[in-house]
Amino acid sequence: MAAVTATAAGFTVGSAVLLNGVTVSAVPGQVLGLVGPNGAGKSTLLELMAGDRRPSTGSVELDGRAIHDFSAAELARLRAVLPQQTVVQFPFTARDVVMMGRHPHHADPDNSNERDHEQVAEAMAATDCAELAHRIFPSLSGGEQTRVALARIFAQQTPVILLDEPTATLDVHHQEHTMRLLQERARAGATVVVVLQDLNLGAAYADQLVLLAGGRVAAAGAPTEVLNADLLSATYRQTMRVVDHPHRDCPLVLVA
Amino acid sequence: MRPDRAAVTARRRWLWPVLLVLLAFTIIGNLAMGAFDVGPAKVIGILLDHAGVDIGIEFSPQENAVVWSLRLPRLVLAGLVGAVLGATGTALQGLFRNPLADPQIIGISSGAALGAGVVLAIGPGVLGSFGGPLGGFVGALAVAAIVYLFARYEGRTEVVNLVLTGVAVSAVATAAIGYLSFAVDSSRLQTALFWFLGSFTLATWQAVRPVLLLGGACLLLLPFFARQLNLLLLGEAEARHLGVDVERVRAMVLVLVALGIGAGVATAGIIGFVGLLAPHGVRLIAGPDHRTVLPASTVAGAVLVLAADLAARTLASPTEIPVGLLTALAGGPFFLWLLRRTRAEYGAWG
Repeated sequence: MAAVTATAAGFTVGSAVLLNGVTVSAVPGQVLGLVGPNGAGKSTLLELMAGDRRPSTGSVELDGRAIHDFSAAELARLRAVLPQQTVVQFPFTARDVVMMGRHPHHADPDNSNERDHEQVAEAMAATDCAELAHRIFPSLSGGEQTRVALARIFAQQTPVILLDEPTATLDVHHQEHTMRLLQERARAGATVVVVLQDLNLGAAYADQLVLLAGGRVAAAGAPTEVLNADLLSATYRQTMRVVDHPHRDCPLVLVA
Repeated sequence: MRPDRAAVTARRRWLWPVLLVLLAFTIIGNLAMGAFDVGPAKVIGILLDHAGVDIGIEFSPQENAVVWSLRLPRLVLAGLVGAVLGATGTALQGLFRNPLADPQIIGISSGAALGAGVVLAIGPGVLGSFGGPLGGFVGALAVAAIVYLFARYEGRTEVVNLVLTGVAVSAVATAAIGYLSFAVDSSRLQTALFWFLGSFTLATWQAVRPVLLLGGACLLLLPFFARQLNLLLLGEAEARHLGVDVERVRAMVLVLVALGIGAGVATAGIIGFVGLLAPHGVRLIAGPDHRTVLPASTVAGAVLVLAADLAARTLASPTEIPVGLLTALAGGPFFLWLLRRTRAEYGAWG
């Protein structure tokens, strides 16, 4: 099982410092939530952890090995990435898109067409989009597209799953459903890193939270430690209160 | 109506039978018809005779010469050029994730014409009949690289950037060809300016050979990238996440496209719209999967250009209409119809 670790990672574009000395560790069996205001560097950190970009300073390792030492094909069998939005301008069906998630296993000797079909059907059932299978992907609504893209990530069957705001376009039911799925994957041994806008989803489902602000780690730890009213109010420049969730065993963040 | 897969599956069954029947018809038609008509039965008799089979169909030496030495090389050239246009149009649309990419629209054809024109102006030297095609390849590759570098921004190719880059590059290349014709007073260049309009009149077996080799390499190798092109349609980052070595695939596909277009344009000039019509027509019938669209567009491109060349030779007989003129005349309106239809069915293109 594979851990993803960023050590003192910085990322600079021109004179803009997007990330500065960020140390984060995502471990198997846990959901790590990345939270923070707009422009805090959440997506950039996710891109570094996915191996999309090289850190300007510091390092990113997957399973103890520098992530850039892996080939694209090797990485594709180790980590799956859900982008904020999937834009497809050609009329593929939803099922075609999910089937693309099986590509990394295309050449595996123990893979087969039957296994691909099984995994695709399973992933689409899990993300509640089986009935969209034969619809044309670009004609789906934003939330439907997200669920199909999510199924593609699950069909890829990787030990590491990185997601950039998977819940942003989803209705409340599908938000909760998606977070439960991620938690299940983690409990089954996967390493899950998820960027979230909604602090309460992080509070309810993340094992660890990292609060980013201005490209730095403002706080990291269990949700009860990170979700501190004073810290959040200062970071988001918005007065907030944190109370015990009346129906769940976790904190509840309120805008005051 | 919500578009779904059932309709596509039903239509897809007809794709290959229809394409192959059309191909057979255009092949026989091109060999049989012209200023001098040879019956379809005699055409088959002549072809089989050259294969060493006598089926007892009588034909005159004149009929044999017309079919074997005039029409067959022209047929092979037109078919190859059409196939290359269909395949490279498909590949470029996939590579740039952009339904409007086409060798002519993004300027690769003009680059090839300039490259071939330079070789014709200074003389091919030891390269012989391969000089023009190789010059075309270099010109096409240079333009492909320029368009690629200029039209992309943060891993995306925007439609407007792509088309405008093509317009600018085409304008420069066309002006440079015009300048060449002033600077070099050469009968070779007169020929060059003639083919620039798109024509198969120069087809001889000698001229066909380089297209057969270079275009053939392009046609045989492009389908190996079908899966990667499918994944690229999800986006570059997404393709990389799924294990595609994006830089390598892009370089290989652009080189193969330049090879095919370079050889085709050097020999037959610029023939427009086929690179758009063939893949779009196939996608309407069979959906966007490159594993089907690439080979089917190859055949569809050949059928389109063969039909256009037959029309070019016979409509105003005994004079001949430049074939590039016909593909644009017929292709432009058809493409507008395709645009509307596709837009209605699948929504706007960004």
